[in-house]
Amino acid sequence: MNVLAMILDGAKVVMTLMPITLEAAIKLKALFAKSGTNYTVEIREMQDQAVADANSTEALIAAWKKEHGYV
Amino acid sequence: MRTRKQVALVAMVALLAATLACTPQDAAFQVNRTVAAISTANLAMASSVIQLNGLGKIDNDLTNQILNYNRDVATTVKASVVILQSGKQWNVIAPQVLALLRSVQLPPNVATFVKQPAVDVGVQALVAVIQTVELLIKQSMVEVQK
Repeated sequence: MNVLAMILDGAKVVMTLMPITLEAAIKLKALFAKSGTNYTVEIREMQDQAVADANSTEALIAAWKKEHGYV
Repeated sequence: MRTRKQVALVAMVALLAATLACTPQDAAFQVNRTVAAISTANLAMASSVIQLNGLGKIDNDLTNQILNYNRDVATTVKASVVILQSGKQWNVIAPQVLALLRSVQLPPNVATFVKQPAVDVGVQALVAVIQTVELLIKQSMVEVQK
C-alpha cells in the first residue's frame, strides 16, 4: 500500500470515528461538570442518560446482529 | 506497544479518576456519575466497533464478541440504575452494585485483541475506548466501596 492510500485510509477511519468520539467526549464533559449542588436533579439526569445510552447501545447491537445473522 | 495517543487517553482517564476521587461529594453521587460515564463510553465503543466492521477493519466474529461485551455492560448499567433508584440504604445498595460491576468480564479473545499492538489508527482508537470503559468500571468499583 502506498503512502497516499495509507493516508486516505487513515483519514476515512478518522472521519468515520470522529463524530462518535466527539459526541461521547461532549457528553462526558457535561457529566463531569455536574457539581452536586442540585443533587437530586443531577443524579436523576445522570441515571436517565445512563439508561438512554444503554438502550441505544442495545438497539445498535441488536440491529448489527440481525443484519449479520448472529441472532 | 502503546501509541502516544493511547497513552495520553489513558493518562487523561486516570487523571479524571483521580480528580473524581478527590472531589468532596458523596459516594452515591460519584457512583451515579461513573455509571453514566460507563454507559456513554460503552455506546461510543459499540458504535466504533460497528463502524470499523463496516470499513472491513474488524472481522464479524471479533465484532460479535466485542458487542456481546457491550451488551453485558449495557445490561449491568441498567440493572445498577434500578438498584440505585431503589431508595434503599447505601450499605444495602453498594454491595449489589459492586457485585454487578464485578460480573462484567472482557471475553478472552477481546482481551487478547486489546493487548496486541495495532497499526491501524481506527483499531488503536477502539482499543483506547475499550481501555477507557474498563478503567471507568474499575473506578466505579472503587467509588462504590467508599
